[in-house]
Amino acid sequence: MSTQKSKKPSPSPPKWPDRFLRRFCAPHLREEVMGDLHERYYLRVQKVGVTKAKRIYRREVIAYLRLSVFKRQPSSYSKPIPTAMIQNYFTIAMRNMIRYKGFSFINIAGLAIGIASFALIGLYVYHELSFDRYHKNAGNIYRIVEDLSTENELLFQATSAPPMGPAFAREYPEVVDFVRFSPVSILVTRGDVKFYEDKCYLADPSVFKVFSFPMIQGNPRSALHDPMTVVLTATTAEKYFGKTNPVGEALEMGGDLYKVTGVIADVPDNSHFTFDLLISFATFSSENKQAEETEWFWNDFYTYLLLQPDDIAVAKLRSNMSNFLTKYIGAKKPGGGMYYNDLPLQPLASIYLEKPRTWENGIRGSKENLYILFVIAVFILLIASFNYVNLATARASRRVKEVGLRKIMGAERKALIQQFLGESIIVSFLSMILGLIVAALLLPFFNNLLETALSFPPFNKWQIWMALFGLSIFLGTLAGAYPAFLVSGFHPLQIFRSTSRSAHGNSWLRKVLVSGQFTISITLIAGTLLIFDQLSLISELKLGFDKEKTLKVNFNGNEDIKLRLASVKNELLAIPGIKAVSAAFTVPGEPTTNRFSRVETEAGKMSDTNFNTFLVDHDFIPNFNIEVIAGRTFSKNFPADDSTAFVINETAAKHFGWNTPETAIGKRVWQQGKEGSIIGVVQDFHYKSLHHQIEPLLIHINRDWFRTLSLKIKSDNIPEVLAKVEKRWKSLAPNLPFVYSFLDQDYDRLYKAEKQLGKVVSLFSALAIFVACLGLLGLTSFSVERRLKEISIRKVLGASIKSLVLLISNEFFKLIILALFIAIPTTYYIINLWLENFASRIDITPWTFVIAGLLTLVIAWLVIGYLSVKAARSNPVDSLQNE
Amino acid sequence: MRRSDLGEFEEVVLLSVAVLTPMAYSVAIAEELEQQTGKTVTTGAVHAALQRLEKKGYVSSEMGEATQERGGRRKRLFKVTVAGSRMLHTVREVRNSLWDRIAPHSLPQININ
Repeated sequence: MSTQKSKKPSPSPPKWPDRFLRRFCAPHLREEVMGDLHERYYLRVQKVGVTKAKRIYRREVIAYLRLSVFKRQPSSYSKPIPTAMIQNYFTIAMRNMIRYKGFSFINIAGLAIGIASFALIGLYVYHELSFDRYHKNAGNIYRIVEDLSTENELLFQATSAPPMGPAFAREYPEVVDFVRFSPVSILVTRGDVKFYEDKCYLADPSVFKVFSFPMIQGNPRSALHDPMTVVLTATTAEKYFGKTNPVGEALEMGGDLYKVTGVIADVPDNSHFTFDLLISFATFSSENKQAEETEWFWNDFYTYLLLQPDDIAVAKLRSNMSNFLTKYIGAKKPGGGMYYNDLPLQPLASIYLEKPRTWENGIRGSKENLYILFVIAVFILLIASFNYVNLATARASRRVKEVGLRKIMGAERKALIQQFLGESIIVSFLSMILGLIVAALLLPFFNNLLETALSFPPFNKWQIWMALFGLSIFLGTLAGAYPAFLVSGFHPLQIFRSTSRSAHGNSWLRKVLVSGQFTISITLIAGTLLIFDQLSLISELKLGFDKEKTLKVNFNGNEDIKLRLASVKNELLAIPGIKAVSAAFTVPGEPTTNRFSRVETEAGKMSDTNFNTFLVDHDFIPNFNIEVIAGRTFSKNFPADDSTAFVINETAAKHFGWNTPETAIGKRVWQQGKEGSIIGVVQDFHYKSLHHQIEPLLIHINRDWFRTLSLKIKSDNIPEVLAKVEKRWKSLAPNLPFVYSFLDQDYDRLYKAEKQLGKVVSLFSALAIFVACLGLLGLTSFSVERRLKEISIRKVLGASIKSLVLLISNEFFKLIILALFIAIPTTYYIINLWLENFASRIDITPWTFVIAGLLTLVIAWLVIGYLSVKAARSNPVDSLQNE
Repeated sequence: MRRSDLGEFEEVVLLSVAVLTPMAYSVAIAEELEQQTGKTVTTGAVHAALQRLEKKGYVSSEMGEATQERGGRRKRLFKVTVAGSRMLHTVREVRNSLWDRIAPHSLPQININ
C-alpha cells in the first residue's frame, strides 16, 4: 500500500467525531482503531480531497459504533462480593448522617416534603384520570354528541335525540347496544319523606348491560323493562325505605305510583355523570312513542353506544356512518333552519377531561389544572433534590480525606461512586418513608381543602411498591449522581498535600441550582398572587344584576303553585323583610336553555338562530336590578305583553346588526310558536359565569315553565327572614319540600375549580419556598462555618457588623435577583395560558412580581440574615484561638 | 459463543489477509477490497470482521510499527492461522466440487471479458 507522504500537512480529521470516538472506544482498542481511521483519512485526502474525506470520515466513525468496539476489556483482577466493604459504607453513611444532624435533617425533611406533596398531588391527578374507567366496557363505550349549526351560529352539544341510538344499533353491526338517558326532576314522596330528586334519569333497560353498575337487589335484566318502574341507588333506597328491602314496594313520584324493581350500589364519585334514581324508558315511551321515533332535533337525551370489543370498531363505524345524516335527517336545507354538521363519538373515558360541550350532564374537570398541579409536584421534588446536590457538593471538602484514604487503600473510582450514590439512595429511602407518613397525616386536611374524598390506594399491589421503590432509587440517583462523580474524582496526592486548595465543589453548579430553586419559588408565589387576583376580579366585577340577599325557593314547576302564583307571591311579599318576589324558569348562574327561534334582520328577513332564553314574570327585571337601556320592560299595563312581548340584551342587539338598541325595538321575534316583537333592550348582565363571554339573550314571559321563586330580602337578619319564609311556605304548600339556596353562593360555586386550584397552588408554593429556604439555610450555615476565620480576622481589623453581614448575604441575594428575572417571563407565560379560561381577565401588572420578589427576599433574608448576623457578632477570639 | 462457520464478507477478508501478509491490517484490507469490488468498504466493517475472525481462531495478530500517517500509533497486523488456512481450503473445495458438477450449458451464457 502506498504510504507516500504529502508535501504540505493536510488538515487534520474533523474534531468532534474524533473526540467522540476516543470517548466511547474501549481503551485497549483505541490505538489501532484511531490509527486506522487517521491513516485512511489521509489516504482519502489525497484521493478525493479534504471535503469529501471529512465527510467519509464522519460516516466511518458512525460505522464504528459497534458493541465489539465499545465493550471494555474485563478486569484481570478477581471480583469477590465486598460484603465487609458494603457494611463499612453503611457504617460511614450512618455516622455521617448522625454527625451532621442539621444537614441530614435538611436533606431528609426537604425530600420528605417533596415526596409528600408529590404523593398528594399524584393521588388527585390519579383520581381525575380515573373517571369512568371502572366500567368493564369502558374502552368500548362512546357517547353520541352533536355539532349543529344555524344561519347564525355553531353549536357543540353534549346531547342527542331519541331516535339516534336505535337507528345506530339497527344500521351498523359495530354497535352492540345503546342506552339513552334523559334528565328528569321529580318530587318523590313516601309518607313524610319528600324530596325533589334532581339526579334522576329515564334510562333504557340496557343500562346495566352497557355500564357496570352492580345491582344489589333485583334482576339487572328485567329491572327497567316495564313502564312505571324505578331503580334506586343504595343511599336513595335507604332515604325512603330505611333498612328494608324496597324491591317490589311502591314509591310515589310526581303524583304517580312507581314500582321499585332494583337497588344498585351508589354511583362512584369518579363518574362523569351521577344519578340517584333511574326510571324505565318505557314509562316515557308509552306516552311519546311517536315523538321518540321521529323527533331528530329533540335534544333532551344522552345516548351511549356500546361497540364491539375491537380497536378499529369505532373507526369502522365513523367511516360507515358518513351517510347517516343524509339518510335519516336529510341534507342541509337551503332555506336555513337548524341542521347537523356531524355526530361525533366521544370515548367514555375522555368525556370528563375534554372541553365541555353545552348541556353537559355533569361537572367537568380541567386538563390545564391537572398539568399545573403536576408541574408543581415535580417542581417541589426538584427543589428538594437540588438541596441534596448543593449540600453534598458543598460539603464534599469534608469527605476528601476519607476519599483520599480509600483511594490509597486501593478503592476504584467505580466503588467510590457506588458508595456515594448509595448514601444518597439511603437518604431518599428514609425520606420516602417519612414523606408517605406525612402525606397520610395530611390527607384529611387536603381532602377538606379540595372538597374531595381521596384515599390512599391499597398498598397490597406490588406495582405500587415497585413504583415507590423505583421513585426512591430515581430520586437518590438524581440527587446523588453529581456529588458522587465529583467526590470520587479527587486526586489523592492533591488531597494530602497541605497547601493544596482542595475542591469545594463546583460553585457555578451550586449557583445555577440555587437560582433554579428561587426561580421556581418566585414563579409559584407570583402565580398564586395572580390566581387570587383573578379570583377577586371575578367576585368583584360588576355583573350587571344584583345577586346579593337573594333567596331562591325551588318549587320545581309544581302545577298547583303555578296556578296560584299571584296569591303565593303576595303571601310571600307580606312577610316583613321581603322586598320583592319574582318567578322564573332559570335565574342567572344556572344553566341557560337555548331555544330555536327566528329573528327579523335589518333586511326584513326572518333569520334562524338559537337564542339563550330567560322565561320570567313581570317582576323579574326590576327584582334583579337589571337596567333597561332602550324601550321598556314588561308591564301589567299592557296585557298583551304576556303573549307578544320580547326583551333582548345589548349583545343581542349588536349580534343581529341593529346599530343602536333603539333600532331593535319593534323587530319581530318568533320562538317555539310564540310570535311578537321586541319592546325593550336591557344592559348586558353576566347570566353565565365569567368563563363565558356574554351571549345574546332573549327574555319573555312564559308561565308554563316557571320553576323558581326569587325573593329579595331587605332585612339584615337573614336567618330570621329565612325561618319566616319557611314557615309561610309550609302553610302555602304543605306537600312540597322547602328547597332553597342563596343566589350569591350558587354563583360562587361556578368558580369551584379555580378556587380549589388557588388553595392548592398557595399551599404547595408555601411548601416549595419552605424547602428552598431549608436548602438556603444549609448552604449559608456551611458558608459561614467555612469563612468564620476570615470573618474574625476582618472583624479584628475593624470591619463593621453591617459590612460583614453584607459580605455573606450578597452571594445569595445576587442569585435571588437573577431568579426574579428568570421567573417573570416564565410566570407571565404560564398564567396567560390559564387566563385563557376566562372571558374577563386581569391585567398582569409588574406589582405582582415586585411583591413576589420582595416576599422571597424577605423570607430569604430572615434565613440568611439570622446566620450572618450571628456570625458577624461572634467574638473573634473564639474562632481564632486554637491556632 | 463461538461460531465455526464463515460468512461471505469474512471469507473475503480472510482471503485478503492471506494476499497481503505480512502487511495485512484493517486499512490495507479495506483499500484492497474497495479496489477489487468497486464499492465503499468502511474500516469499521473490516475491523469488526477481523475481530470476529480472531475470536474464531482463523487469524492471529500482533502490533506492528508506528507510522506518521497514523499519528504515531501502531497498527495491528494479521496472519492466517492453521485453522484459518484449513477453513479456506475446505470452502474452496466445496465450491470447486460444485462448479465441477455443473452440467455444460445449464448456466445461462454470459460474456466473460
